[in-house]
Amino acid sequence: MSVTFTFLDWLWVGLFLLLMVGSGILFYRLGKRSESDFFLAGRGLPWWLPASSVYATHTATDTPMWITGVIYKNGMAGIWYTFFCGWAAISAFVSTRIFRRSLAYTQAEWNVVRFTGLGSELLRGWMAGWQFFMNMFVLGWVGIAMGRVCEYLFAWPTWIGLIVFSLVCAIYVLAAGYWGVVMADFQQGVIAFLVIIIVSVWGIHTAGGPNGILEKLEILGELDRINPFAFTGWWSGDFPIAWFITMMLIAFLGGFGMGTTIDWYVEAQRIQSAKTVRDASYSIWWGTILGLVRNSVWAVAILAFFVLFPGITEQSEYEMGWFRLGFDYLPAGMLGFFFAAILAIHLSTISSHLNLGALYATRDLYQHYVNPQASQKRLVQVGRISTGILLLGSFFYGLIMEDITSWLIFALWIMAAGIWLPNILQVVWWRFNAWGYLSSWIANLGFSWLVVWILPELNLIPHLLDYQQFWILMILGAMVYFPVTLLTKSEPMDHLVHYYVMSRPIGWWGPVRKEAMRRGLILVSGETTLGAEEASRPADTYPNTP
Amino acid sequence: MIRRRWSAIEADEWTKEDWIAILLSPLCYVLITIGAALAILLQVSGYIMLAVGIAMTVFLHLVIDPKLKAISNEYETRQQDYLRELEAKVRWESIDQKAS
Amino acid sequence: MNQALATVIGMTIAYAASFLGLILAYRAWRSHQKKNRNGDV
Repeated sequence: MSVTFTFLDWLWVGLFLLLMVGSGILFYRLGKRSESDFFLAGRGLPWWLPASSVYATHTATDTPMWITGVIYKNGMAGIWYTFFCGWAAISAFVSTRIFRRSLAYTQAEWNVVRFTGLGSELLRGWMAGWQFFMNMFVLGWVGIAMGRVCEYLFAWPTWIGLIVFSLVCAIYVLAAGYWGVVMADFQQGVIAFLVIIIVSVWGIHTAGGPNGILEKLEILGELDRINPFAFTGWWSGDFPIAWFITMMLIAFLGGFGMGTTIDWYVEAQRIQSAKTVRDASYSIWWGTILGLVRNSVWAVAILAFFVLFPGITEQSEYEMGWFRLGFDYLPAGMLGFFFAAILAIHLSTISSHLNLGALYATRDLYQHYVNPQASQKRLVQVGRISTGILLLGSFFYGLIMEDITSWLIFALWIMAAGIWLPNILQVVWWRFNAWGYLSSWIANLGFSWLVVWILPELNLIPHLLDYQQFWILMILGAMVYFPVTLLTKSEPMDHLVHYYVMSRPIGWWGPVRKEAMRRGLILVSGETTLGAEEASRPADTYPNTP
Repeated sequence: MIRRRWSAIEADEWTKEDWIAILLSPLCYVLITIGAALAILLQVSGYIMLAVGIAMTVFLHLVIDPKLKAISNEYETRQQDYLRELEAKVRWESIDQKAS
Repeated sequence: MNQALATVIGMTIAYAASFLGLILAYRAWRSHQKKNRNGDV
């Protein structure tokens, strides 16, 4: 299809882009003050700002395509796929709280708060390098999704949509850093949410309203599509119960850990930008539920699309369903508004990943490993240079990604399967150490490559279903990191006690807690309150065991 | 039934209020998401799920909010010290100091 | 570009970035430990 824009449509688009770039200029002075401002907005945000950023960042250009795909294919049961963000339900009250108390800028930095010694530093360097790549990769895949939308709408070559809008976004990210990101995210979140509602309601109305959708589904013999529990059996088919259970376990129990999905790394920045532990918890909880409610609205709109256009078999065609509801049915003059909302969706994701990737490059790689005495001015400069490098790298990745889906699945597996349990263990088990965790990362990169790509290609194992891959990678990884953990020393007790007093982690921390109590650093109810000075002493100044 | 007052020491412990939040929170997510979708499709089950999800969300916040406030207040008294420590660590000061 | 080749190139960069971080970390650690040892002497 090709859409024709009127002057009013282009006006909407122009005004929106002006608003976004304007906000960058507005917060330029705040962003350049310090590293903390450029990357965490000075750690002073009320919960609703990072919450809107959580929502806006995770509403990307490819999100409506992906959700349309799973709902069109599986009916309402497909909505369970969108629960990959369900980890936030438990995390908001567990790992978010623990991470916020560590004050680490990044998940990489958290490693040297939780662990110590060479192992913790290697982990930090490894994770920082990985996250720099990962953000570039995400930017590439989101960027190319925008390229495809523009190709679909205006018949532009894909590189135009990929490059032009990312460049516009870079203006305010370079100018104001995280201040620009979070302020623009708030506006983008509001615009995107409103337009998602408007277009979806419009689509539902076009299909005859809720009753019309139900009637048409009945005529098509597809009424089961409104049943969220319509699975394809226990073990087989497109959506077996075994996969459903695996997904729910990964999603919800992942909230006890940190980094159990790639979204955690984005959220970690939002958690630290919240002004208190309470604000951090609510930002994650509310930002995520807003995204889930958005998915509900989308799901019904896709059912509307299904009854309007049943029987599409080409995935690339039905994935564009929600966009078609907007561009086919909205009145003239509103198309530009819809496109501005798509830009809002796009820019919020791009800006977050530009700033996040630059954070890892600046805080972990440059400041900690290259120039520890760098001034605040220099760190902001490096933040801007890193943003530029990420932008250029994302163009490269975007242009070589012809098949987004297979890349996406592979990247997510690398992140999720083999290190899912270690990501939880690092939070809940005192004995888990830096060497165990590092070995799980390296082993997982090898195993996921083998299990997902190489062995099936060589016909040594069959092509496995998603849930089978997950459990196999988890078992293979455990065969490496458990022995490594138990055969190497635990972290020094002084360090663990200090970490425990600061972060108060949940889980199996008995020996550490006992030692902290023995040293008088943790008191039980009824004893005298611990002095702030005492509790925050550096680990190496603790009273030693007599 | 709902505990409103927490001392700093008590708030730092993992208590039954945390476990109520941990158990209810995923249920709230599921009930609200599925309930909202089915409610838009005018299904009675959707209205019920959505209403229960919202009520549960209110209850969850009533239970956990006083504790989160206490944790935040208590932690903020120590935050500056921890931040100084983090900055020293990023500059390797704790290791280099031993050398000097 | 061939999809398989693109994947290999893309993932090679990913591994290279991670190992670069790891090497940077090791070098920094070693230099600070060396400084530490010299200081002790």
